[in-house]
Amino acid sequence: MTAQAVTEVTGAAGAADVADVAGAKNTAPERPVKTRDPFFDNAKFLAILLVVFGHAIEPLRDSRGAHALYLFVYTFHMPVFIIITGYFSRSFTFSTGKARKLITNLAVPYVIFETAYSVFRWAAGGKDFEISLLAPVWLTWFLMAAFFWRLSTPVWQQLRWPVSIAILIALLSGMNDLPSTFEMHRTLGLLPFFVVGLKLQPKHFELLRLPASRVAACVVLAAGLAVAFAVHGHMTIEWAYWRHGNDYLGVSEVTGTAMRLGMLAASLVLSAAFLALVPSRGTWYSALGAATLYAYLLHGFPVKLAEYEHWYRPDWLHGPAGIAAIAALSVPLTIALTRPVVRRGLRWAVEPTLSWAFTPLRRP
Amino acid sequence: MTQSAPPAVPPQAGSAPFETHADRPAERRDGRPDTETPARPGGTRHKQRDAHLDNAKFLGVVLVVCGHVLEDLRDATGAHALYLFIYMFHMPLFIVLAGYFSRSFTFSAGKARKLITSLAVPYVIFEIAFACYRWALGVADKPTISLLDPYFVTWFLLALFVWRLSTPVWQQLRWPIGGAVVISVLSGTADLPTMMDLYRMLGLLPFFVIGLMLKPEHFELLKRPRVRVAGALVLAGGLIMANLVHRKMTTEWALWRMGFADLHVSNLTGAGMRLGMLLAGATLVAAFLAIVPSRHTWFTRLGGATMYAYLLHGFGTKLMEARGWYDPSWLHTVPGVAVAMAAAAGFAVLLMTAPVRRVTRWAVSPVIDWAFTRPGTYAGPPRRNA
Repeated sequence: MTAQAVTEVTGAAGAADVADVAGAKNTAPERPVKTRDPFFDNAKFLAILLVVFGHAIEPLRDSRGAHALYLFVYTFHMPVFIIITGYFSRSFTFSTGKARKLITNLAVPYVIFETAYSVFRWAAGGKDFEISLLAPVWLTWFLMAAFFWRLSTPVWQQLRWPVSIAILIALLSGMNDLPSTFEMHRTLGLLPFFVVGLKLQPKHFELLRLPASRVAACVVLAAGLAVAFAVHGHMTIEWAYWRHGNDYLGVSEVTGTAMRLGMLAASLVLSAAFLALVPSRGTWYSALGAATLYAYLLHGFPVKLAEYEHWYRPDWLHGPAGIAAIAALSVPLTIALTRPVVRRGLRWAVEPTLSWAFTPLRRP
Repeated sequence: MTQSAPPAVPPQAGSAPFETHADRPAERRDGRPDTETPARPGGTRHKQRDAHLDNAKFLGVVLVVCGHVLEDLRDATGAHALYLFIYMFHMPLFIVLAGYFSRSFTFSAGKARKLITSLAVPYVIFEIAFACYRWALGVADKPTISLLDPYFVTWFLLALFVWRLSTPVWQQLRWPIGGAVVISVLSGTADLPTMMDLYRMLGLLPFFVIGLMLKPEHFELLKRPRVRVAGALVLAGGLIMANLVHRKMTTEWALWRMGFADLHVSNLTGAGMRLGMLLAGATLVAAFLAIVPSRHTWFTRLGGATMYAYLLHGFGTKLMEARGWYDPSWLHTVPGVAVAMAAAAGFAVLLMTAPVRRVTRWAVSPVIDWAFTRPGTYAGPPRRNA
């Protein structure tokens, strides 16, 4: 079954990808509108698999291997999504349809899942009941950040050195003690990845698909894993979260800025290496790659439930066997959450139509 | 950008960001015909500036300067009530007009650039300038530059930047004003950080959205003789009301910069007060617009340069404060306040004159073509199925 077939069956033009949240079509500009490029669907599926795996091994970080692996994965799994989000925002203009997608595929799911996770945290986790729409709970920050990034697209399109300016903003944001409201640290700190994506062109991805690039990518990823094992005991994982300022992390502005620059560089290199290894032909999971937003928003429930219910308690889990078991479980979970049946059942929450809330189609 | 350099003498229609974009819809610096600016939804593109709105902006910015001077004279008879009265609607007025001029805001290259040149860059420049100025005056120990924490008048630039960016979202919603009012009231119940003046950004949002929804015919309505009489009556009634209530409420309600908890009221009271302030603000803005002359006057041309007065007057009023020039007791009397108001109005006019504009244009409305991509690099939105 091709991606297109799935999207036709379910009636949406593939707007449910994590990286395609505002409804930009997953097409290179020179291609006809209707063709999805399996490369990006593959990339998104494999990246969401890493997100699920990363969250699932979070409670196992007391074992050395899990901690290093966690750092490794966290260095590039969200940057990959953000870069792809930026790439598909290149032609983002505020035509009627796209402005609506911003509301239906980001703002409304944000409110729904923010509420749902707050309720779940209280009902299943025994935490205090509090819904705070301005301070995102856990993984919902991505919806809020993507909303702001998308809105800012036209500004980046005009600037001559957009990536440099975005990096400057990211570094400056680290020097401030920003509040958790609007997840400002992440929105500003991860901004360079979005802008890098905006500036990428199809030819850059062609470059990644060269056989030589693929070989280099294997070496880079292996080296990255080795470095992660070497340094994970010497740095806090917070550097890969991008959610706090230098002061909070207890480092000077100079150290913090250097760390941020290093993390940006490492994340970019690893993201490129990851993308180079993604197959560009159609695969069995290409179709599932169009529904990554479902997996992203839903996997938190089983993962958090496992945590609340102490399913991570057995000792054997906190070692290589546990990591392998979690990795083995992440695959079917991710596949299950991206199935068409899930999309049909939860379309109302992840990509609602909401035509009643809009004015009749109007050309601005 | 081609080097069709800006004229040495600024065009009379100044490019103050209060009317940043839509006032000059057909202008493109690269000299190509403007094919990206669609005709306005409400009618034809107007090539001419609207004298009524320029007059309103001029009078509005005079009120802003007077209001800031009045701030330090509030112990004089009647001054406190007058301060509350002015603050009820002077910024709402600008915000409504900013929204009105954003109606056709789409992200054509020219408009996105305007957002940077007339809001983002001046914001950074004036944040730094005010920080240094405070330090030079001895008010601050060191120049503390916090770009995320707007100082004094600069919050408006930041808020307008965000509001403008959000325009396409409001354009699509069926009940945009209702949505904005809900956000405004909810923001009061939240414990927001001081960062980015979020309380103002969210609290005053309804005025921007109201402006977005206004059409030229609404302004025509305000120009009817009967409506003008009603406008005068409403303003008089507002002034009387302000005199009645100004001791019973804090002026913080008109500053929009705190949440309900900071104001020590319950969420219910706060929501009621905020709805009342929104309603009163909108009514007074309409009344004010109704009494503004719609013919061409001596100050109409200055209405295109209100941003100069808005951003620059702070250097004057902060100097007054720092040097203790408000201290003489005669200033704190009715005639003293009258003199101060006249001086403030004169100062505002001075700041909008051509020489001041020429000297400060680099900061208020800079031309930074070097920072933008060359024309052609960004091809604009691809036109599919056109």
